[in-house]
Amino acid sequence: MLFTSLKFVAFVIAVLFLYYAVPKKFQWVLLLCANLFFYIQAGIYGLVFILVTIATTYISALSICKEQENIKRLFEKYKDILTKEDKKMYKAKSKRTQKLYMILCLIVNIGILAVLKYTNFFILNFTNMKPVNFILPMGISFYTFQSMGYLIDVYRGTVKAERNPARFALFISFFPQLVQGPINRWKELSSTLFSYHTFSWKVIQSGVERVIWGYFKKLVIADRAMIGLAVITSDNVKYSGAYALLGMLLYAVELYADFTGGIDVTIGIAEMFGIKLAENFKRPFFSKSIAEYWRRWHITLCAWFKDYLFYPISMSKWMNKLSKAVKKKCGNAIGSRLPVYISSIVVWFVTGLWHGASWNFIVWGLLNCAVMLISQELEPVYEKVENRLHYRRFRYYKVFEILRTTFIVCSLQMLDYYYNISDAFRMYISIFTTANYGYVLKTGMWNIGLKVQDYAVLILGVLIIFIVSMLQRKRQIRKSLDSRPFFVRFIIFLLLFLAIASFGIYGIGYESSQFIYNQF
Amino acid sequence: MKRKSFAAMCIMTACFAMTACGNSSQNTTAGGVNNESQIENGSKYVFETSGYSVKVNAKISECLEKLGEPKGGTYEVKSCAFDGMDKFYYYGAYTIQGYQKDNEDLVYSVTFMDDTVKTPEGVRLGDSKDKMTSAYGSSFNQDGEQYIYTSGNTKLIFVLKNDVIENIIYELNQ
Amino acid sequence: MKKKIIRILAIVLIPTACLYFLQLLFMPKYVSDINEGSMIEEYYKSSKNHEVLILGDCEVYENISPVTMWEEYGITSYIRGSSEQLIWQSYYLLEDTLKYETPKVVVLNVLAMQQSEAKSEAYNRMTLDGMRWSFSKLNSIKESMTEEESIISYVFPFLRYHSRWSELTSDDIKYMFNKPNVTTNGYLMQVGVRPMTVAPQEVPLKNYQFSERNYNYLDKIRQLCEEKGIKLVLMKAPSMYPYWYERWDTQIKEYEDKYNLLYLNMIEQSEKIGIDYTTDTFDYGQHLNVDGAEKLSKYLGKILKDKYDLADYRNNQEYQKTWDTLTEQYHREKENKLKEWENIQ
Repeated sequence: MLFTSLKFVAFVIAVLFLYYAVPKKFQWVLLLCANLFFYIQAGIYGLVFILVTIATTYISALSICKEQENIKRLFEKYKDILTKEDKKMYKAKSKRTQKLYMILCLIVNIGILAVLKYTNFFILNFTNMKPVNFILPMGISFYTFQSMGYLIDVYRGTVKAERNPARFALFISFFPQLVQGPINRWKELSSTLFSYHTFSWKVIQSGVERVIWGYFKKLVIADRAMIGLAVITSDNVKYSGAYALLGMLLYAVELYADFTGGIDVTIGIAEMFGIKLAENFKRPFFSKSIAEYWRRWHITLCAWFKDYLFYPISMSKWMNKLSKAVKKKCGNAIGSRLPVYISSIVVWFVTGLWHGASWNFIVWGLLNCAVMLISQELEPVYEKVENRLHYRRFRYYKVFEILRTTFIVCSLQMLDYYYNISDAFRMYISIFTTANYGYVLKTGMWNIGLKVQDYAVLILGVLIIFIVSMLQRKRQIRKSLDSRPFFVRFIIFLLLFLAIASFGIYGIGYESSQFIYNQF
Repeated sequence: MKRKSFAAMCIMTACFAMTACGNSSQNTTAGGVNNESQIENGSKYVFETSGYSVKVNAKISECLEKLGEPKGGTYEVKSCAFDGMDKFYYYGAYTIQGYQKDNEDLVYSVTFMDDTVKTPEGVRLGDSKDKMTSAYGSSFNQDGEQYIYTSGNTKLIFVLKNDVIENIIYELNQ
Repeated sequence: MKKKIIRILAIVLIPTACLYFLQLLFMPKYVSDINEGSMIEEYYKSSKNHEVLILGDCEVYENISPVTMWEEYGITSYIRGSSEQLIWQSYYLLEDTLKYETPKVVVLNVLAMQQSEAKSEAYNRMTLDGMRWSFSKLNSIKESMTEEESIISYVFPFLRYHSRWSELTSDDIKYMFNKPNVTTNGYLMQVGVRPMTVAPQEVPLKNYQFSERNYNYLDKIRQLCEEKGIKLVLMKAPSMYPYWYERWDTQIKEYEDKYNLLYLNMIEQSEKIGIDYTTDTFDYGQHLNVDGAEKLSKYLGKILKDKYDLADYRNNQEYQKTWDTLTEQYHREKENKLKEWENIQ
């Protein structure tokens, strides 16, 4: 069931209706049934995998939690008898058992993900065997991460394991977020997921508004940009130079509108159920550096990597030892940087791999890492220059920084859609070396499946997003909209709705497309 | 504006379906694609005549240059309501059917009209089923009386009646 | 409370109304171009008291002129033809027409028997969109849909045609609520001559057998006609392409014999009809021009009149007015189109 299909819209409406019709204590059960239905629609095959993840994570987390409680009870019961050493020993032993549970569960689940997603990558790169045909279960990258995050949280003792397997299953499989995130944390989501929700027009209206906004971005902007991009990437001999630049812009627009639009739909739908999901974006294209960009784009994924990969590596005992050893041999400068460098490289390697099982994504991830590390290293230089020239006080310097970041992001993204790395670099260079700008402007850009009206819609759409983003800097635009009279809001969203209906890329006239992030 | 764009959009489908108020080139059962021998933009099944290979999807203009004007004439068929145009080139012993794609006439199929021509593998109308299988093997898809060999962009179709080849067609594999 | 009701009404009604008007705007108008898309819906504006109903594809709507049959014999006829009309589409159109009138004779062109599957969404649209909603329409859609299509896009054509937003012309506004007729009782007049210089040859086919599905629908047409006391006439129009194969003809003849119907193979009788393929066709023998159509209509009309004892309505006042208008329109159209053709030449 695609988010953009009428079937999905009908499904959501039906579930909503039932959700507020059943007694409140069954609301979450109804959602669970809806998830089951939603998942079965995608094929019974995928259901097996998500059930395995749910079952293993549930059992492991519960075992870990029980172990934690046991040790607590033990200490409590024998607090007079146990010496400090005893306690330490028991604790260590218990921790080892807990760790075992966690690691087993991690191996099973990351293993499933790795086998399904990366077997072919391995086969193609390191063997002569034929690729295998695996069907990726829907949203596997997202639900695996969400459940592993929960598991680690339980291990760390920051959350308590859920005792009701059905409730846990709902947390992992909540259908609006199943397909493309955001990756939620148990701590934040569980309270709103299981509480009682009373029907209110206001809640529905607010959710609908966000959904409309999301569909507008997805159907009117992203899918339209996609048409041109598909043509440009279909032939990278013909479409170089100015075409490549156009492609770069189209992809930036497409990816942004597609992913943020999809998340708007997700969050909006959850909102209608009274459930608050984590935000995933904060105007990423207003970032002044790549590091900032990654704090504002796909926030939940980046936070996940930070909490569950970056810190564990950089703060680990062996890293500490290594750092100390290097400090001794090569000096403080290198020794103190080592943990950050190693963990950053690992994290970005994995981030790349998470986005796709191919080298282009890995290179893309590592290049992002390189840019960040280099700019970090250059920071003292900037400081020096700043102290002399005070350029940062210059009014438009911020704008320059934003444009610079945007340009770097867009440049790196070329690796996402030219799957071949050398192609990506060749096309990137061609932007500066191929002098076909006049031709493309005059004829070329009108022959890639986009008409003048399409460009107009694209530009207008991007402009609307830009204005909305500008307004968001100063105030919460949703709140200020709320204070307007009903009919003002109604007309705004009616226009958006009609724009989606008329200009949206759907139906036989166009090939309807999936959200990009579904495939990860 | 020559035509409404609705039509423009339909032309592709219309001419691909080779329709002219419904003509004969229907019933194209999708044959399984022969993975190992799939040749990009080509096929191992190509009809040859007068030292020239008539490839499916080749430009008609090139065929005419090499084979000369068809002696039986050319027949043009306009699709009902739409712009699509199919053309038949009657060469006597075989007929080439053309279709239009991106304003260019391309070869859609080659049909044998009598037994004076044979495939490069030596099979002609009137031959036995055994001859067909010894020349082409038995990895065909069967659809009723049709035996379909697929390779790349071409389907080579034999129609058999009582184990005798009644018809041989090279056709675009869509 | 009152405020709430007004709001809910606004939320429901205003978008619906907007979508409805946008749908009217986006639907193809088929007036200045691709007239074939207008034909099916035009029927509902007709007088609906015809003795002869003609069903089929372009071989009927470009080859038979009801006005000529009226002028010659006083036969009242209507052609419910459409591009690439498939045999089940003919059946459902028959069902549909019978809701409004019961003709004495149904003439069915049999070319469609050789096509067992809908191949083009565009043709489906032109046959189906124009039908009024009924189970006949729904069933016809279900039978016709190609893989890419969905019923919902027939229920709400907006979903199909919204992509036309960037292609709208003045026609789309001009004919949003009201469209002029493009045919005369279903006859789409073609003028001009493009002679047939090369005759289409008998290129062998992979398969000559009409499909079971098509036979089923032919049976259904026959049974429905029997039920309503309508005489069914099978006809193969004198179009030279698509080539009408002997083996197809045999199958129809067998059917004719089996059920004691009348089958008219007009290709065989083209000499008798007087068709000259160097002057009577506008597209190299595929369809007749107005001269050819008038010849065929005279011939067909005579057979129908003699065999089925059709009444001559020319002196019937009830019919006169309608048909006078039609006749006048027809001749004016012919004159204009001929002038246009001469200008192109």
